[in-house]
Amino acid sequence: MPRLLALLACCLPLLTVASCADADAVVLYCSLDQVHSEELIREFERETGIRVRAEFDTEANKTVGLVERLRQERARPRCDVFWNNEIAHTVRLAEEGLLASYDSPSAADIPAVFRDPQNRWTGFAARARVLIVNTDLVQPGEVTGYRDLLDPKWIGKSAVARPLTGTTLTHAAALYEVLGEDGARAFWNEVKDAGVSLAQSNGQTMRLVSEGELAWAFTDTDDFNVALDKGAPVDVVYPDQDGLGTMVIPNTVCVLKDAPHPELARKLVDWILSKDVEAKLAASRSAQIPVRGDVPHPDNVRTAADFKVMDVDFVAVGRAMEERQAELKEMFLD
Amino acid sequence: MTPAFALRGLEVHAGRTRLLGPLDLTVEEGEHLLLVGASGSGKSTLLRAIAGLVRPTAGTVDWFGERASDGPRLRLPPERRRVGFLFQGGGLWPHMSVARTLSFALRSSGTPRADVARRTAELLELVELTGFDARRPGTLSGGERQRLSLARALAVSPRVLLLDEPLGPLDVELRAALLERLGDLQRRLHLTVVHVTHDPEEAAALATRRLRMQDGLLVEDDS
Amino acid sequence: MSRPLVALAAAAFAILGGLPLVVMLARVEAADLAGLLDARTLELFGRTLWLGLGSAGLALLLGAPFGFLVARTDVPGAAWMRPLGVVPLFLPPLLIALTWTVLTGARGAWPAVLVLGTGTFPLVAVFTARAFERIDARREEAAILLGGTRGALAASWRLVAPAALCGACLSFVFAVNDFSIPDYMSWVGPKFNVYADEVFATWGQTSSPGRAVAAALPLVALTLVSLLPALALRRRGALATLDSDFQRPRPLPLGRWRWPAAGFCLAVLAISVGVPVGRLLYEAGGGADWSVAGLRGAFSRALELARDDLRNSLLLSAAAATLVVPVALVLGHALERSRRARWLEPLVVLPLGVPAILFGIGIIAVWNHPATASLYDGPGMVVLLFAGRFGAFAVLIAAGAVASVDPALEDAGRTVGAGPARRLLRIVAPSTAASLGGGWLLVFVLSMRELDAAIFVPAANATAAFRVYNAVHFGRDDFVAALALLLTFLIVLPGLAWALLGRRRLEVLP
Repeated sequence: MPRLLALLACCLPLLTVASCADADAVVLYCSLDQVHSEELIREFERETGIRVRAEFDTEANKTVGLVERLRQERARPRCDVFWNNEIAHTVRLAEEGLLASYDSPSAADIPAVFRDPQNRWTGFAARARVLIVNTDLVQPGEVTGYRDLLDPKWIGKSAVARPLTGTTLTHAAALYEVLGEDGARAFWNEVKDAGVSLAQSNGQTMRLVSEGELAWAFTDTDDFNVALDKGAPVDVVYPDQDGLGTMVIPNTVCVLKDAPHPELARKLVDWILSKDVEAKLAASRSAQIPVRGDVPHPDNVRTAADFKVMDVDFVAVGRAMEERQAELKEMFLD
Repeated sequence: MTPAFALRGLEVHAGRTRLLGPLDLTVEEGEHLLLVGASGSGKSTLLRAIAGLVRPTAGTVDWFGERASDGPRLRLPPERRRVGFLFQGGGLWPHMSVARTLSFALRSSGTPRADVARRTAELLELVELTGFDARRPGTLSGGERQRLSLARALAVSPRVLLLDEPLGPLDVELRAALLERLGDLQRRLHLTVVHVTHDPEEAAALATRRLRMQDGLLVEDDS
Repeated sequence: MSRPLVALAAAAFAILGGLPLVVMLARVEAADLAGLLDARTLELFGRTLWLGLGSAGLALLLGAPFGFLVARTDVPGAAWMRPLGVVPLFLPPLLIALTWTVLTGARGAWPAVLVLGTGTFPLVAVFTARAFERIDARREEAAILLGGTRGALAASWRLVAPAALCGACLSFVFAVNDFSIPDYMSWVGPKFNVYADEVFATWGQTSSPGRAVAAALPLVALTLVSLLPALALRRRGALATLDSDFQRPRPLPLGRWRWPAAGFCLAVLAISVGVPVGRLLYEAGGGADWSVAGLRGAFSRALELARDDLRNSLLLSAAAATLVVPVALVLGHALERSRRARWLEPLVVLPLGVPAILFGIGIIAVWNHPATASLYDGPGMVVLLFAGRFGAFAVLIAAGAVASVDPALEDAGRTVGAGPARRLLRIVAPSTAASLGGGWLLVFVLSMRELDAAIFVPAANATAAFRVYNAVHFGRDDFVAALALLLTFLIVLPGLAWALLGRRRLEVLP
């Protein structure tokens, strides 16, 4: 017995070792890919001397992980700032009362459509829901918009990710706002009945088009840029420029209510929302689309001022999300 | 003479099956009780109940005047009864060498660390296994293993020695040698012995009393 | 066995593995259970069953003969094929799926079964191999005298089959809880949606936790129901005992079947290990522009970026496995030896039956309080999570090992005056050391690749599995491949080296 206890005692110090990050670091939950965001965060640390304890989401969890953590940690919030790579979940968190209001001076020139009227979140650096086309398999002008998915000639050669998670879900839910409930429901039913290929993720559709297994597919601009970087024979189409416009999904950043380090949190938010960071995100491999027209950006990246953006009320989309999700699940999970 | 142990109304069950009893038995100090009976008659279970290795379902066990068990309540666990048990098949620890086996038994039974080496040597000499210190049970012959078992049982300076078919695996010559050694030890150490066997002839010369087991019950042996 | 010791171990296990689940279950309200299984979800459930049975069947088909051949016959190369045979357990299943779809274009339900079956066959192989090794040489020789090798097999099979089926049950459990593979493999043509999809989608969808927990219950029930026969089978498999004069069985001569048998083993290894690892090596070296320099570059980048994460993964997983083993020894012993503790067995396996997400959120609910804040924020939480989630494996393995120890060895310990802890440490532990080592290894390995629940624990962010998955999304193929390989090799290499070079055959390798 004494030896056994001694053995257990040896393990205990391991468990009680406090966190390696110190208590005065600002805690950031970040669902933007670690590979894109980590270097920026280090830069913030170098510039300001403020330490950041950053925790990331994984693609496997499709943003459910961090959002669910924020909800569960409500009793004892440990996160200061949430940097979400999309907007719908942020709106829901705001509705649930988890976010604090903060009108960042850096957000003054961000268009109102990307800002919460109550200043609980701010959108910036966006991804567009675009079509990635394989230039060996698709002629210019051959596909132009979301309804091409239903064209019999493309069945089996085009795809969209299953609209149950991530940006595809947000996109699907947004269609309910812009097409009306009946219109969107009819469209998604047609997608299902026509046998449109439903991929696992936007990363997968990007791979499949790059490899020529598919002619074209919906994906996000950051995924498209990965294909472009690898030298795949692909081009991008901003869909529905003559109609609904292209859906744009901004990153969002917000301060948590009862954040342990509110002062530092606001400093971090100011920094993240700066033009400089938006420019860096545009220049990065994820090629994020600046929401401000005057942010410097590489040639291959457009700004939201360069194309017709789908007019979406994000707050309404976020509020209706649970209902939409339930309906889409009934439709696509059978 | 004082009784070494006394069983009153002892019963052992496995589920609904009665394995033993009800039975009464008193064994005096220094006695050599020979328990005979066909296999499956409950001899081994009785030995294990005496040692405290099985929980009785009813009855009492008194151990040198102390209540050792009362129904299923174990008041004196086997590790505190100072009982030497020679298991059928040996029950030797395969991962311990001969010397290790004995030193483990000695330390477990409270022998001071300083005395362990000397006592180990004595025990080895007693059972004529000197020089076998480093051997593992798997490399010993049947007779050597049985002698090691005996040495281990003696290591606890037992008040009662329980022998479960101790001569089972041995040939005739070895049996005679081991029996002689047992008798010698019993006289020298004034041991109380319960000796279980299926062979009525075995150890007849040493026994001070003989009982027969039949269907879990004790009957007088009239053979 | 000493009651305080068992109570201590049981309490540790209950806090680590049970409490997060209890907290979550407590959130379910009656309304959450209403309409849980309708026509749609029942169909998902049916497909889940099909997927599970298919995977378990394939795992049995590959694992049972493989385990037998490498453990007990003179098949050439058994010494290195045996440790290689556990490698599929270390490979992220999604990477295996990726490999096969890229190479063959295979899609649909059957390829999903193939991926899950080949990924989990080691579970069957390991159990089979161990069971075959527990057969006493004399018993086997008697059978050989009567009927040759075939006779020996016929006699042994009744002892080994329960163990093999036990492994198949575990394979079933893995398969029914997976949603990424069927999802990934069925993106064209009819979707092959499974019930695990429903569980995950409900988590994303609803902010009412009770409903999400309730959605998981049918899957939890199915998992437990499939683990119960595994437990019963394990008990029956306990017939083979190791007593003090146990004699190791000798390798069975295969005669002219030696080389065909080697061919079979190699084929199994090629499908389950060779192709996926080969593909990773190909990708790490730059794919179509493969070069040694490219390979070296990818590895050095992976090492440079993820060195700390790899070290964290190793330390945290090793700590979890080390924490679990003493608890497993005490509990496994109690489960096997004490009549009263037996009913605890279904409870012990409960943590294995719940979806990772539920466990992860339960961890937050239990530990994110001011009093335990420094523990929650620190690496210790990751250790507790790993231990709680996978400790049951070690307990079951320990129980199985204790079953094969002759009770007379412990009785002899009692009669010489050794107390419960001393008997456990000095008699039971050495007699079961190989299995305890196997349990340690299994917990270690599963912890190294754990991600789904770890996402909820702050410090798990800095682990290698986490980084691999983050990188997978970004699609940096060479980097991902190199990192996945590093992760795999870190686990496998020490074991392989020992198996090949060590003087003593590596017994802890299952």
